[in-house]
Amino acid sequence: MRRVIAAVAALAMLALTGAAPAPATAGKSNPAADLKAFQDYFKTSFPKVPFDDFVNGPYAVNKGMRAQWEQIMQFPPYDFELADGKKLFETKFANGKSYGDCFPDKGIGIAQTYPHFDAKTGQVVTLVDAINACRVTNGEAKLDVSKGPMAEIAAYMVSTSHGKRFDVTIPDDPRALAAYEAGKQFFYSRRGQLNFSCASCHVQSAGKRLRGDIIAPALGLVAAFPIYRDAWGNIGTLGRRFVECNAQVRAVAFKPDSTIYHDLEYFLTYMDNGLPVTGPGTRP
Amino acid sequence: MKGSEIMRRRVASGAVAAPLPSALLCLVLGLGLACGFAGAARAAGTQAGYDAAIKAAEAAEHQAGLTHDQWTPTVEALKAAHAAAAAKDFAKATELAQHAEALAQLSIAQAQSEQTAWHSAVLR
Amino acid sequence: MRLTIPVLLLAAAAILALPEIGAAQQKPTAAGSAAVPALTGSALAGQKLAFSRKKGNCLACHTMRGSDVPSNVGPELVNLKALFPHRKDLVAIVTNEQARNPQTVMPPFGKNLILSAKEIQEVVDFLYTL
Repeated sequence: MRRVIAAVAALAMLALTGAAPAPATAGKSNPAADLKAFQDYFKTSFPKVPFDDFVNGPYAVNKGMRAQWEQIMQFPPYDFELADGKKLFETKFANGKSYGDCFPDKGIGIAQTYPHFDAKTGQVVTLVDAINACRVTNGEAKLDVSKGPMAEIAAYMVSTSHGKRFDVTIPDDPRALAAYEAGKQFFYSRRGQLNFSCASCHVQSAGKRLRGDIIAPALGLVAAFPIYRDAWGNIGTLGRRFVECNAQVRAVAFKPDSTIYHDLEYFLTYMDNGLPVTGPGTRP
Repeated sequence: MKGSEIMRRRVASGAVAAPLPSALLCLVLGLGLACGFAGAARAAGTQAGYDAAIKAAEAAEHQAGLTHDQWTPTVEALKAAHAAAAAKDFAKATELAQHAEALAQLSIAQAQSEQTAWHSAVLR
Repeated sequence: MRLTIPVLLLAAAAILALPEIGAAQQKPTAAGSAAVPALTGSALAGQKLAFSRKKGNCLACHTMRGSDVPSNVGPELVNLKALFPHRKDLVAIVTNEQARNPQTVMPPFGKNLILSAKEIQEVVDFLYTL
């Protein structure tokens, strides 16, 4: 019993020290300054990688992986799902309308603006959300937000934005800034039994080898989604990958369409502003 | 507004407070009979000892949920504890529940320390 | 009771040198040596932990003799006896490297109960054969 008491007392002390007051680093939110520091860090860390190439993740920073990838891309593994996505996108709902009716420019070439902040609801809206909202508006059931038809439709919509550059805006609205800051905090906070943050791997260990895989740099990390992942054997959304990442650090994952993952996607996609849209992509 | 406050508001509806672990409560409350009883019961692997241990573990995991930092090994240990108790192996079940509580307390401590520690990792 | 022991490491790691298990200490290997010593006892148990995904998973981040995947998140594990003549220093790193380096990405295997105190001793026995 004494051992238990001693151990728990030690833990309690740890908890107390953890509750120390915040350092005076937390100033006013400044996404534009964050973006510059973030992109500069990776440009400096990988001076030989052209800026636009960061969208290719591990293939941008490792020659061997790139050679394999270039072979794979002669017959991209997501081709069938992308074709299905186009078909689904163009299929009319029971009420005669279609996805294109829900979006500006009929949904073609607009993916680079997602996620966007909806001033009416105060929410961050991802492309996946917008697709489901469109379905609900037209009397259809929501789709699973991780894989299957949703990932296929999103893949098609993203593919129509090829060549355009990410242009995510954070309006000067406290709710939008709060969402951005929450996503940023999540990205840098350690979690799970393994005590990793997103940044532990994708900033601090970017480009390094992990059990034979190359860790993708955080810059460009979301630019190729949805992705066909060999480990999945099919195409999936960013929410699906967030769930998987959290489980890998031994943290209980949130729902793929949870508010916190939306905030994280908002932060990460904003950090990719200026990079070309390249999804769907493929990863090991 | 500080990021930590923002996220706390956004991800947690309840208060983020460290619950006192049961054993520490015993320490704080002094040399109460209850502690002696709990200790004896745990050693013997009784249902009562398990009940106390699993209650403490689940309370701690609930708190971890409020900090939005639960760990999968905690969930696994709780599940294994329930299974051992169902098989009437209270010694094992108690040990697993205590392990789950320790993990849950660690996850709470992590969440609390990260409320400020994350700032030092930000690219700037 | 056994499960509570690793928690103690939290407070004790810095000051506590646990009794030697020591099976592996008799056979230090020269750095770069191709000869693979036949591991036994505690060092063998430690190697299994170091290679297992569920437990130590050391080779996810470190290259070391006997692993078939190159990893470089952390430094190559070689010649550790010379680098860490004091066993407690190596135990402390495996237990909670963040105590020494707050920005490390190395998981705190002891502090977060990923490995038990006994398992950490086994891993250290294995590391001293590298």
